[in-house]
Amino acid sequence: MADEGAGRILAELSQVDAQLHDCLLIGARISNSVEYLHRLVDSYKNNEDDHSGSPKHRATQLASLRSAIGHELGKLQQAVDAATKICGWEASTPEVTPVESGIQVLLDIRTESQVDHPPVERIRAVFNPEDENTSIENELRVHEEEAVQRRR
Amino acid sequence: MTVPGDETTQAIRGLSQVEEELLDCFFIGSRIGQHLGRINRILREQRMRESGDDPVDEDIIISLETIQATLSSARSGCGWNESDPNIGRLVKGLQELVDLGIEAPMSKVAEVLDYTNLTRELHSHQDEAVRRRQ
Repeated sequence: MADEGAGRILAELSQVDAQLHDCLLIGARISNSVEYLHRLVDSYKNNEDDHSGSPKHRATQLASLRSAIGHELGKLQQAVDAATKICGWEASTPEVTPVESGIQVLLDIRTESQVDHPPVERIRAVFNPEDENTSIENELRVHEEEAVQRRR
Repeated sequence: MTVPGDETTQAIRGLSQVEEELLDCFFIGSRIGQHLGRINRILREQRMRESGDDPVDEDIIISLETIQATLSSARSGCGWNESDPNIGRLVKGLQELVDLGIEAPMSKVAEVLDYTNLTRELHSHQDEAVRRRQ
């Protein structure tokens, strides 16, 4: 009986290579989404402050940026779902907690708002915390450095 | 001779290591994605105001060195290699990029990114991985 269970576990272990590859790519997706979202919300702010062009053009630009932000938040949600399912990414994992909670704030904002009207100022505030060390990018960097060292 | 229960112990030990490895590979990928994104952003910004023959920006050098170190961990810890039928082209492209070194002009970095289609390659693999595991 015990060996039957062991056989099942060993069979699962044989899937691990594919899972490792996928976790690596899902991690890349999350950092790309975080970086892209940060760029989009900064760009939104710049467009909002820039009154040099026509109001109509400005409004179109802002609407297009809002839509891109909503779309990217959706992609971030999908990546986090996948990471939670197979990469051990969850709030109860001590190694993940600070960065997970930062990203979770973004996803909560997404859930609370309309897809086409994400509250850009609130999202910007997540990327620019009072203490820069607690930004999502910084939290990610610390974990990344440790992981790279461990697997070298 | 196989002692009964040996396989179970071996399997359990294997599983507990796997959990750590999965999370580490997640962060290793996160780092590659972040630095490739950073190189692209700097190139975009620089292209607007400087000549393509300028030496590689210092931040790009840091990112190339970081990707080089990260790629080693991806190979040793996450099974990444050039001969993989799935991600081989991506690994090869990244290696080609980091092999450029600090002497390369900005235009060369842009050129390698262009013909290896590295960013699109990474993005499409990311999308597939997310879809597979959702």
